[in-house]
Amino acid sequence: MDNLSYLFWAHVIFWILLFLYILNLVGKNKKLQKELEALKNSINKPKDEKLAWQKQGQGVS
Amino acid sequence: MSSLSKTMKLLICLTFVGMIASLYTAFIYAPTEEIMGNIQRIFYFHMGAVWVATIAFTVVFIASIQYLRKQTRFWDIMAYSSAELGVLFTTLTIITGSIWAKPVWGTWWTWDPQLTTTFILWILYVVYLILRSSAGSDVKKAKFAAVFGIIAFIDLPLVYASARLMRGISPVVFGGRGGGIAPQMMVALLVCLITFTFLYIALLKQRMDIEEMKDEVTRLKLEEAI
Repeated sequence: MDNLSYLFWAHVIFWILLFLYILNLVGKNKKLQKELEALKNSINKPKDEKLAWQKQGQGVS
Repeated sequence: MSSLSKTMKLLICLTFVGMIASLYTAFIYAPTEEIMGNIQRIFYFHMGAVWVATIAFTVVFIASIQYLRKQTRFWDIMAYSSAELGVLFTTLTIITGSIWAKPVWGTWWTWDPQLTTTFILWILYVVYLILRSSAGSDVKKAKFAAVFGIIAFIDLPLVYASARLMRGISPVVFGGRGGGIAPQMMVALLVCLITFTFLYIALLKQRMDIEEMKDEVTRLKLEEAI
């Protein structure tokens, strides 16, 4: 290998590792955001249903 | 967390523009070094990685002290996130340094004082990451990891001192027996260091956001269970 190929491979490895790390961060971020949304929905859903029942009950009486 | 703040968007833009400028200055603007030739151009990104690793481990040290003093999760998250970045950039330092060493020194690796202390630093913070990730939400283990993070930092000044005080083959560019570099090379180096600082801040913020979201998920799961 001449000097330029060492320079080339050093940069290839450098950028690949950096991009893999950034992709990993983005992936984790998206996964956690989805999980958070799902959890918030599942927590809010029973509350909404309860409120709807209460309103229905008030309407009947 | 889902949408990036204006500051974060600006930081990412600055990092992107800075990276293009770094590539330009490192490959086109900076002159070719007389003895080593083009292989010396690894220097700019190698030093960028060294710089980020240094900042990252210093932040681990400060954040660990703050965590032990104030016991707030913020400092714990900061130390853990910064250590991960420190390990990543020390890995990049070792890899690029090794590739640079082969044509210049004729070997991929040698147990030179600076290389040895850098390798020890890398191992210490890999151990820290293992300790910290195994701790989870256990405060006692988190405190132990913080103490380990503080002690591990002692190796960082040794990395810099070893090249200056002990006889090794690692070059000393700046300082007492350093030869210095050409002004254009210095410009290229400064552009890289500034860009890598932006990159570190952006990555640290993203990494810390992930830990905060993990905490939020745990909290909501508990709430749902109740």
